[in-house]
Amino acid sequence: MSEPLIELRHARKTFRTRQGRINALVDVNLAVQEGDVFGLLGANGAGKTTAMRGILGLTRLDAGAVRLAGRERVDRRSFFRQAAYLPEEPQFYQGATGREHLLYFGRLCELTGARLRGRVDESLAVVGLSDAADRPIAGYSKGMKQRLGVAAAILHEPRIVFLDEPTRGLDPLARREVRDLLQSLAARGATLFLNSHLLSEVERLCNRVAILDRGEVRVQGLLSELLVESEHIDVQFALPPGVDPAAFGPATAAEKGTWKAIVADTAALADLAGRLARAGGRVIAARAARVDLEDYLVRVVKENELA
Amino acid sequence: MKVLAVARFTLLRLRRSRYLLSAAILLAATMGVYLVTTLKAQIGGPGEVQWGEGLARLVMWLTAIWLGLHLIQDDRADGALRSTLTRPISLPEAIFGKALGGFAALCLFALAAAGLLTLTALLRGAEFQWAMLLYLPSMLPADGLVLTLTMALAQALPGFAAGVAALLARDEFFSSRALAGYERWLPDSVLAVLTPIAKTLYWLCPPTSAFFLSYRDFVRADAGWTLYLLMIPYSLFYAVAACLAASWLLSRQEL
Repeated sequence: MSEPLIELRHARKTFRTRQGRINALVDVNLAVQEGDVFGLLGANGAGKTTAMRGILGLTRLDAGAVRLAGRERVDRRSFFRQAAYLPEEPQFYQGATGREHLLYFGRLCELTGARLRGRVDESLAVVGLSDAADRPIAGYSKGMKQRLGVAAAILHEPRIVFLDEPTRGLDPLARREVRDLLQSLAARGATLFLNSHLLSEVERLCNRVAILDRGEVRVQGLLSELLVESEHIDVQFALPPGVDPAAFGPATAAEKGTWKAIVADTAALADLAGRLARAGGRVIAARAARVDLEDYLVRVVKENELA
Repeated sequence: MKVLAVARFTLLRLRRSRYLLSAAILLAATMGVYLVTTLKAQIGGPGEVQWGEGLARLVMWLTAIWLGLHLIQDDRADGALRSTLTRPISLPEAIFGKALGGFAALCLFALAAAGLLTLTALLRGAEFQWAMLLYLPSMLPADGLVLTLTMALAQALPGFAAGVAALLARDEFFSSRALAGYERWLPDSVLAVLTPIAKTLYWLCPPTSAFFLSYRDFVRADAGWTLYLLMIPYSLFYAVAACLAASWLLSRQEL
């Protein structure tokens, strides 16, 4: 595997509050490959935002290192020449127009003259804000501000864009607009680092995920592989009266006196069918099933709680 | 270039915000007071101009403190500072840009005030003197210093405390003139200890608005324009130091 584009190594962060110390990050390691759409998942307070802000340098980590394209991050300038950040709620000065903001951000990104104006126009067109570009931000809807945030993030054509809950608080239409935008960004080859607990969004957008729980990475890998690992077979079976279903593993009662169980694969299914036959029972139905990301996240977190 | 971009956007914000509008209202009020109080005079003269200049000077000084308290803090509160800092720009560049934008606003204010005062004095029949036009702009280095100093203080102290500390940064408290005033009520033994401390503080701390008076206190000479010219590198040195201090303090905090 090639060198990750972004790597967070052994990150630790503790917040000191009046109530005591909160370990926001406990030895967190994350790796994002070039071209990935990476989703950082977890419940509220899991440490997602702290991890992202630590990578961006907006939060001082107690320990750990951030590497960009194999190189230790030297300073803010070199990092943000290649990266962009879209916060949860992009903030803009209400009195300025969308175009004025983009011109300002473009200048900070070392764009000048005709190239600056060209990139501003292009970015506005990509997010569909060309018509509203010269109106003050005060008149923008939340979705428009989010789109302007995306335009500001892609202005200098960064290699990686960090997005913190990009669709939070948006109505379904605006959410779809932003999701389509992100998909088109990914299609253009940009690497996206997405922090979200809207799992349906993540499942649609991301190819690689990491699950954070209480400041620790529980699982990390390609989404398709993680979900395949969690594939299983749902089995419905019947037993003669007086036979204890617990003898066939964890089973739950189903309709008409039948029972339901879960087995990992076809070999386990064959084994169960054999044991059922010997006890006078039979398999009524078997169906291959795949958990969705939400089920998977819950399972990982619960397993960790039990451990 | 990036410093100029931040300065330009800061000035745009100020132009459209309540701060400059408030300063303009204060300036108008100052002119109003000046006009009303000079109505009784038969002939407007340099003395009257100085009176108006004194008022405008005070407004400028308070505006510098006001801007210093709000330039960074407002950007922090509405997330604009974070948006700026997630671009390829260093923290000191962003702070210098903010300071430069605030200073540009003060320059506009000083020029407008000087022009209005001169015009008012001329309409009152005073004879034109370059000092009428140049006095307020010549104080800009000191005001820039107040602005940056307040910016730095606001990163370390709550707003009100930072404002009070900036007010106390006037050199009246450390100068030999001030010490001479203390002689009346302080015993010699205390003064003997206090004087070298006060003089050391004077040179170490950035005395601000009345720099030229204190300078004269120390050199005992009427330096004239040389004095004003000296204010520029002196104020610039401390303004840069204050901006770097503000950057350092800000870098220690969550953004």
